[in-house]
Order: sequence, then C-alpha cells, then structure tokens
Amino acid sequence: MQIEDSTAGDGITRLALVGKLDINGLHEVDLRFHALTAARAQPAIVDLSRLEFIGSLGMGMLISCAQSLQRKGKKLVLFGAQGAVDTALRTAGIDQAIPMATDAPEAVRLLSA
Amino acid sequence: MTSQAAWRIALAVEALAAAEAEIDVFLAAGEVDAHAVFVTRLVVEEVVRNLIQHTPPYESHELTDVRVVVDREAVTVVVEDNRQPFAPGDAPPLDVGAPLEARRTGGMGLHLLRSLTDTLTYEHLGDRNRLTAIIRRA
Repeated sequence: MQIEDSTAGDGITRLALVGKLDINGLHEVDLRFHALTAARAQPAIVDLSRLEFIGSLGMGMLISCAQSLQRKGKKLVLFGAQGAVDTALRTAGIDQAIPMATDAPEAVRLLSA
Repeated sequence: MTSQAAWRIALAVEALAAAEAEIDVFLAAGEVDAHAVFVTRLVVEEVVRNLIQHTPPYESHELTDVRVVVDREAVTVVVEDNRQPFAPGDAPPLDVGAPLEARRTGGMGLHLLRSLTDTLTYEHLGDRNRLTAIIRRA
C-alpha cells in the first residue's frame, strides 16, 4: 500500500492511495496519511482510482482525517473510485459524509462548493 | 465444478495478511469476477480482523478457520472461531446518512457485510461461532 503525494504548492494537498487498504495496508499508510492531510491543515483531494480494496478500517481513516480537516474549516474530497471500491464506499454512506467526484478537476471544484 | 480451500489463521495481523494473499490467488485460479473477489476479501478481512482486535495478545495463538468454496453460481465463505458468541443481528444499524461530524466508524464493517453479501448467517454451535456468507458470481 502506498501514498503518492503530488502536492504542488497551490494550497491544495493532492494524494493518491495505491493498493489494498486492508488491515495490513492501513498499518503502512495510516500515520503518513494523517500527517499529509489532518496535520497539514489545508484542503485535500485524494485519488482512489488505483485503490484495489478498502474495508471499514480504511474508510474509518478517511472519515477521521476528513473530520479533523472539517474542524479546521478545510475540506477533503475523494475522486476516481472504481468498481467494487466505489460500490463499497457508497454502500457505507461515505459519499454522504465526504464529497466524491469522478476526476481531479471536479474534486477541486467541490473543495470550494 | 466446485473447488474449495481452507486456511487455519492465527489471530495476528501478519497471519491474516498472508491468508488474504493466498485467498486472492485461489479466487483468481477459479476466474471469480472482481466484485465477488472484493466481497470475499471483505468478509475475511472484517470478520478475522474483528476477532484480532478483540483478542488480547496473550491469546493471539488462538486459531480461526476460514473455508472458501467456489462453484458456478457463488462463492461461499465460512469463518469459524472459539471466541465469545457474537450475534451480528443484534448490532444496531449504521446511519449511512449521518453528516461528517456525526459519523462513527463502529458498525461499518457489519453494515458492509450485510449489504454486499447475498446471504449472511451466524450460528453458535457448542463453543464455536460460525459465520457463513454467500456471494453470487456475476
């Protein structure tokens, strides 16, 4: 499990989650993901297009970081989720709590919506 | 054509990760569709991970049995353990419409299993818990 950080200095954190966000994957990325989102305290978009698996623990990580950003008046937006990952996120109602976009430009627009 | 495989997994993260990788290989050999692979993995991940989280380290040598059966119509996952009885039907429903500030993470795994499997049954037999999930193939 990897996190790719392509933040470019425009005030928006741009991350991609790549691989399987199961219990093992979560242990690999949890601290870094919190550091890059909640601790950075700026709006963030997260690319899920190469995420192959997510369970409730991984969804909990997304909710926790989105809540931390919300308390600082910032937003986290997800985009690009595919297939069963997209289905699982919507089944758990993640899309009701965290905006979900189809691509990066839409995700950036949702940050200021 | 039916194929099946079984794993005896210690209640530890490393053991679960190793078994999940082998289950992926087994499902790929059976040419199981992506949705059924995802939900099968979800069942094993949520149930065994829950057991790991609720097992003290001094009892992590305990084992759970996972059996996966693939036939033409469906994937069946059976997880058996000796931990405390747990009735998934007793758990409160997850409020999937709750706003971000009110979202809680507890109960999300069970909600996913109830929603994404076609059948989810729990039995307590003697001192054994048995959870059976059936996932229809595409």
